Formats: sequence, structure tokens, C-alpha cells
Amino acid sequence: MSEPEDQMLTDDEDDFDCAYYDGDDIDIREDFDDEKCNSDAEQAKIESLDTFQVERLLNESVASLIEVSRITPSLAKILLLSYNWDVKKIHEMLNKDTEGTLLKSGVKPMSTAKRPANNTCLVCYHEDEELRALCCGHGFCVHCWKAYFETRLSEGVSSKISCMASNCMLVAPPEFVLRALDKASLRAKYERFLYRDYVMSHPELRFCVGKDCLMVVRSKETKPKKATCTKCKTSFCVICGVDYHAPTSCDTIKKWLIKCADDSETANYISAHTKDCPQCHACIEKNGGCNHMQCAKCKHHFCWMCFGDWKSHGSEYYVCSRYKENPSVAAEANHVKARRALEKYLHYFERYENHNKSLKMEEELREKIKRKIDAKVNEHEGTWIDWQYLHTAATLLARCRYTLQYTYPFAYYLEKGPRKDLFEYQQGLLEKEVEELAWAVERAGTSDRGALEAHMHRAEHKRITLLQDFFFSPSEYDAPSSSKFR
Amino acid sequence: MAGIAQSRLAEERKSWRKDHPFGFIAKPSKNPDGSLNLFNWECAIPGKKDTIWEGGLYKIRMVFKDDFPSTPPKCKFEPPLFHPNVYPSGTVCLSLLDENKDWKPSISIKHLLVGIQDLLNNPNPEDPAQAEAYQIYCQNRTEYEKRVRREAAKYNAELIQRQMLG
Repeated sequence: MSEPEDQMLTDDEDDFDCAYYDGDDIDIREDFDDEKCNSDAEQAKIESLDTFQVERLLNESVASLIEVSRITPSLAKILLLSYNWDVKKIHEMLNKDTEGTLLKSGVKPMSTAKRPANNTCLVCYHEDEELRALCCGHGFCVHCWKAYFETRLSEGVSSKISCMASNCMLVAPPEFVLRALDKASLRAKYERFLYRDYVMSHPELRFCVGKDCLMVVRSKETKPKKATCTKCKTSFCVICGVDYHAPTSCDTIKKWLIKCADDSETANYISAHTKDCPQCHACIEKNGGCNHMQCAKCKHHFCWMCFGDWKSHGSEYYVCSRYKENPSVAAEANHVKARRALEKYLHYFERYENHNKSLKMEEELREKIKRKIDAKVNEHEGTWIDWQYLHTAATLLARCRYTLQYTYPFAYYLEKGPRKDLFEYQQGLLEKEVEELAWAVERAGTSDRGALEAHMHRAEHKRITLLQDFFFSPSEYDAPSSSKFR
Repeated sequence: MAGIAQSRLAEERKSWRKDHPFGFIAKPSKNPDGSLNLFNWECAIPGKKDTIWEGGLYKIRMVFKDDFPSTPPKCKFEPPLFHPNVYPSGTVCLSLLDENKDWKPSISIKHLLVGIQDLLNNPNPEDPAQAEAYQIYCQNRTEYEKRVRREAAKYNAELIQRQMLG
């Protein structure tokens, strides 16, 4: 971390800890309406839709397409699905090349076949009285269609199941599939998958990521802003669907989360329990109390404390006062670089994780503040309304800490240079303000309201400064349009 | 579903015995007790005439699952073949063999074998499956052709045919 932050933090280091671990945070999801004026730039403009409203929205697109192209609603849906519900584009394409567009999206058959005279199904080679075919005429028996649809469904495919004939790309419309599936549970599964495909192919629609929440969020945002489901109150990034992560971009947070999931524990363990053999650089875990180590790989004898050759310790009782006296052993070798990279990662990860843990203790603090307010009111120290600023302060604290948490992945991937220096300087300022605010909220009963509000103001100001760059300047943060989450 | 697979594979065998492309071999393997295992076929694909693969006969195993023909069989060269689209394990990478790409339940074993024969001389550089053949194919075409001719000589058609048909 850069210098300024260290300086800023030294003053309140003690308070820092107690504020963190006493659960000094609250849920940022709550009350954000009250704070709207401050965080407008962060909130994505969204509309929460339930299943019924989504169907209606989709059907509007279908209706407008039917008007011009004169195809059935289910075929219109196939067409919309393959062109991401862009009605305007489909209109243009149909005007230019009706035939080609319909062929390409699997709405119209490439070629039509006559039914085989002897009624043989070309999948099971059995004769069947009733062969079923899509409008391409490739007839197959009901059993084969059913088996085929069931298999595709078990693989999660629903909206783009094509005819069983080789080279025939004609897509089976829902009513055809539903007629072949005989189990109600499978039909329900098919319709569920179909709905999922419709929503996911629509550029403005995203499923709410909340557990068991069926709401769909509609938004035209192109920046990774915060969306909050009106039903389950879950907040997430409107572009990529993971937890809201400003000032880190979608791509970066993805990289970071993968990295954390992959190796945070392993990395911690390696860092805490192992050292590299000074001769062959194998990673060694100390499994006994003795500091006289022998590398299992190269058989080198060395001292765990000083990394020197064990021979230099002589035969006397072990007393090593030369801890890390010889750091120049293979100074720039690869393993040293690897260690350093690990240390860098752990530095950022620990801070990221620490803020995250603090945030999770939000409930506790809420309760504490509530009790505090009740006590004050009972003692006739002001009215309930008088004390509401404590809630607001806690909300703001959580919001600042949340942003602070997500500055670490961003800083980790930021290249060295003036931009990083500036960012880390601002980050340091925010760290300082957040900890001062935490201290003040914790002791709000005794400190006066004016001071607390001054803290709040400064903290929010620093936070906005940090985010300024993210939301108002460069397009480099703009999420690629294809990064829609699944 | 196994019912469809079983009867379809029996029909495939019948139709193969009636008529099949010249030089190809395809027969269900035998269980230890001598009965036929319709879900595991031993096949062989000849190199096309006038290509660098000519003269070779390449053994390939086809393994079918219970949900065949909704899903394609797994096709594996035994031993693994020197070819950009053949995995080191011998498994063939071909869109025709991918149920999410071009596989269709109506594709027959005959159709598949001919498709793989075609792949031999028309490798798809978009989908490399082994590093060795792919790199040589991209960097040094003369060396590549030399290596393929060596394969063709190693799997001499007459030799393999004798091995397989006894």
C-alpha cells in the first residue's frame, strides 16, 4: 500500500480494530431510498418485472413482428430469439431478404422432403402408422421424437432443438415439442427452460440473482451500476449480476473472484506454513519442531530460521540469532518473484476480505443502535426522531465500507504509475474517514451530533471522489455488451 | 430409451451388411461369451484415394450410449492417430459428433464413417485437438505430409484388414 494510507491509519489503529469487529455496519440495501440524492450515479435505472409482466413485454414484441411478417406467434418467437429481440433489426432484415432471414433462423425449412412411402422412421428404422414431421416433412415416429426431446431437455437445451434429419436446421416450435412430451413434469421443465432462454436472450432483461426470486430486472444501463430487486431487495451489478462492485469493472471483478475462489486459502496456507529450500527452491512445510531442516528433494541441510547451511551452525546447541540475515540468496529467482506476487495478492485480499467480514456483522450493529435509541428515548433524552441520524450514519458507514472493499480488487489489477498512486492515495483517505466514522458511530451517545454529521459528510465526499473516475469518465469501464450473465 | 438404441443398432448392422462403402469395416465387437455387443463397434476407415492418407486403414472404435441416437457415439482412433483434430486419447473432434452442433439422430454409422474419412484430408484448424499434429500442420506442411505418409505406411490397409477380418 502506498504511504499516505499508512500514515492516515496509524492515528486510529486501535479504534480501527474495535470498530471492525464490533459489527459496525449495516445493510446497504435498506434505506437507500432516503439516500437517493447521494448515490444516484450508482443506481441503475431499472424496472422490476414479474413473470406475467415479462410475458406481456415479450408478447408485445411478438405482436409487432407478426404484423409485418405474417408468421405464427411461436415462429415469431424463434425469430426474435435468434436476433436478440431486436424487432427493428428483424424488420430490416425481413425487408431486405425475407427468405434468407427465415431460413437462417430455422423458421423456414431449407428443403422439404416427402414422407417415405413405407412409413419407416429413419431413426429407429421401424415402420409406424403415424409419422410426425415439422413443416420440412422429415417424418419420424412419436417415440423417437419423444426420446430426442427428452435427451435435449436433460442437457438444458429447449429453445433451439432442430429437426432430427441431418442438415435440416428447422427449429421445432414449442407446440410441436409439447405435443410429443407426455409427462407433465417434462412439459413444465420445457416451458421453464424456454422462458429462461427468452429472458436471457433479451438484452434489457436480467434475472434477479436473489435466492428463489423469480423477478426479472429490466434496464438499459451500459455501465455496471447497482440494481436492487424491488421484491427480494437483493442488490447486484446490473451488467454482470455479481455483487455490485464499483469502482472495479465487470471483467476485473470476475478475474478477482475466480482468483479468490481458486487460491485464497491455499495461498494463505503456503504463506503461513511453508518456506522455499535455499538450494533447490522446493516449497517446504515444516512438520516438526526442529529447526534443522533437510530438504526431501535435494537433501540439503539448512536452518529454518536463517536459511544458512546447517554446517555453519556447528555441533553446538542450536542458537540462531541470524534471522534472515542473508536475503540475497538467489535474489531475483523465479521463486522469489512468485513469493512476492503471492504477498502482493494477500495484501489486497486480506483488506478486501476484512471489509467483507465487517459488512457481515451489520445486523448486530442495527440491533445495537436500536437498543441505544430506545434507551435514550426512555431516559427522555430527545425523541425517537431526534436519534434517527444514527441509523443514517450506520447506513452511510456500510455504504462507504462496501465501496472501500471493492477498491482493493481494482487496485490489485491497476498498473504501477501515477494513476495507481493517486487512486491509492484517495483510497487511503477513504479508509481514514471510514474508520473515524466507525469510531464516531460507535460512541455516538457521547459525541455530539454535529461532529458525527461532519464525519458522515467527509466520508461520503471521499467516497464520491473515488467513484467519480469510475462513473463519469472514461468509456474503458463500459462493460462489453456481450457480458450478460447466465 | 435403450429399446430404441438396441433396435436401431441392430438395423444399422443389417443395413451395413447389405451394403457399405468400399474399403470400410464396421462390426459390433464380441463379448467374452461370444455374443455381439451392439453398443461397441470396431470400425476401420481407409485413407481416400489420391490423398496423403491413401494406402492406410485406420482403426476406430465407436461406443454408443443408451440414449443413442439422441446422442452421438464416441469415436476413438485405436491407436490414437496423428491428425490435428484427433485428441491424444484418439477421440475425434468433429462437429458431426457433437450433439450441440451437427449431430442428428438420423445420421447413420455409414454417414459418420464417411464424414470422418473426409476429415482426414480436410483438417479443421479452428478446432485443434492435439498440439503435435496441429503445430506441424501449421508450420511445416512438407514435414506434415511426411508424417502422414508414415502413418499410412504403418497402418497398411492389407495388414489391418487381415488383422480385423482374420
